[in-house]
Amino acid sequence: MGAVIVGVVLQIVSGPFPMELIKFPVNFILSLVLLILAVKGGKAFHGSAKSLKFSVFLILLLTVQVLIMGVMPDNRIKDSWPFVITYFFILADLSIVISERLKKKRRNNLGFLLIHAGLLILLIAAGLGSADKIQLFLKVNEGESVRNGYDRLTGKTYQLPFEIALEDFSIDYYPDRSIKSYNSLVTLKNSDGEVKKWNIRVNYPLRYRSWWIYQYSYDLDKEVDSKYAVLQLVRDPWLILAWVGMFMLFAGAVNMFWKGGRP
Amino acid sequence: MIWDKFIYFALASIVFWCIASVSLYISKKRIATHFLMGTGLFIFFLFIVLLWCENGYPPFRTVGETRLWYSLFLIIVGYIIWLHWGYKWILSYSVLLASVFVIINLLKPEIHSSGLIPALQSFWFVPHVIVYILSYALMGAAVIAALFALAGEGKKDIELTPLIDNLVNTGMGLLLMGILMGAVWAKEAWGDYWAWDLKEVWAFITALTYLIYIHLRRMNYNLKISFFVIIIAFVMLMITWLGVDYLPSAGQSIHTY
Repeated sequence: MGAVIVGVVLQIVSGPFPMELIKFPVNFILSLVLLILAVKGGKAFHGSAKSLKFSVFLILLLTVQVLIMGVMPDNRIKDSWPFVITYFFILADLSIVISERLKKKRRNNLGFLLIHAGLLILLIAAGLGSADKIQLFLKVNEGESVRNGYDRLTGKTYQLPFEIALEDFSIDYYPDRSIKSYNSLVTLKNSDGEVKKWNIRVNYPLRYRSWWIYQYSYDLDKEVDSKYAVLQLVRDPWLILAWVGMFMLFAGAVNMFWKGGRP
Repeated sequence: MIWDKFIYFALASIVFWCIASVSLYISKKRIATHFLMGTGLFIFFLFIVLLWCENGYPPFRTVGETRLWYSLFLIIVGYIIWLHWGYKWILSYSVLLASVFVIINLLKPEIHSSGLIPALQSFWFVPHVIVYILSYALMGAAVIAALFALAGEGKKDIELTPLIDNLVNTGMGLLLMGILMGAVWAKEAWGDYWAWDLKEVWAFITALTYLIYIHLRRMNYNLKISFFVIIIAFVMLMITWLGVDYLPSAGQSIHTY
């Protein structure tokens, strides 16, 4: 284990972890390997005591890094090599404990599997999958339409598979003048001429295929008279897998709540 | 303004709950305790319902409003635990803690009469907060039980271990539900189900620390150290709940309203 940490520290010198490294199809292949390991994996630990010990070590390792994240402003822990390596170790460990548990056929296997497999799937989607995520912003004037999004990370513009027209931007107020909602009434049109109309508000994004389109900003100086809206567009191809993981985890959490301390 | 009359509802509830926790120790029959607890709960809940009606939205927006729910669920959880395991002290403790929250509300009402801000207008708002409050109440009870176990000599920890395990596992289940509902909500509101927002980071740390306890218990690790982990976890929980805004890394957390 010491060797791992020393290796991790040495890696820091080479700068943040390059996410491009695990873009599709690399992340897809890695995920398949992990899932096959989880179902068919061999014996990695001798006895569950050692396996538990290793899991606790990994959780501790992760906790320490997240703690630094929580205390230090503007840190880049989540892009660092130690964090990414810990992440991969956790994925591998989860796969192994799942495969070992599958062989045992113990009581309450279901609760255990829901939690651990759900977590594995969610972590795959959230980590490996995030390499394929696209986040764009676009500014659109009232009465005009736009079909390019701007990627703030790379500074590049990205051609969208549809165009968005802003019909009207408005702000609703409560009687005491505090803000009730920001509304962008938009029309989305794809190349086949398919049209979707939606009032984009905070908490109510427009969903089109794998794209989620959010109200992001507006002309802050003119407020209610703003003539444009800034929209945020997110495409996460791994989102469905994340939902599956979350659903399994939730079911596992309900099971935990019900059973309490009985293993 | 129904808040102006809060003091009558609050004091009535506290009086009923206090008498109830005294009746636990002097009366052999449980019926008196049930009646007193029930009446106190009814009065307190009635206030929340009236406030809800007056606001026109569920009272979850301000710290003051969340304290109302915290008191309510502390009492309910303490009551259920007493019914289930027969620990009298936990009911008295929950009455004490609930009263503290009520008194804070009386002395420092962070109350606004304005409507919900856009970010909070979501289906997930109520369940997300309720589940967390319930979880916090259970974890609060767990840390007290852990302190009792650590303070007591020899026997106490063995007696209390099943209770502590039940509390932490039940609380962890709720904690997980809370994080997951928050994640779905975040996807709808901010574009991503996990954004390393400071509140998320600390909620994550809290969950990880409880996770360490749960795994240590599966290992049958040293009990004293395991219970010590619960105390650390509860400190993390408190930072998540109240302390995040004061951290140097708070910057622009989207959880500060």
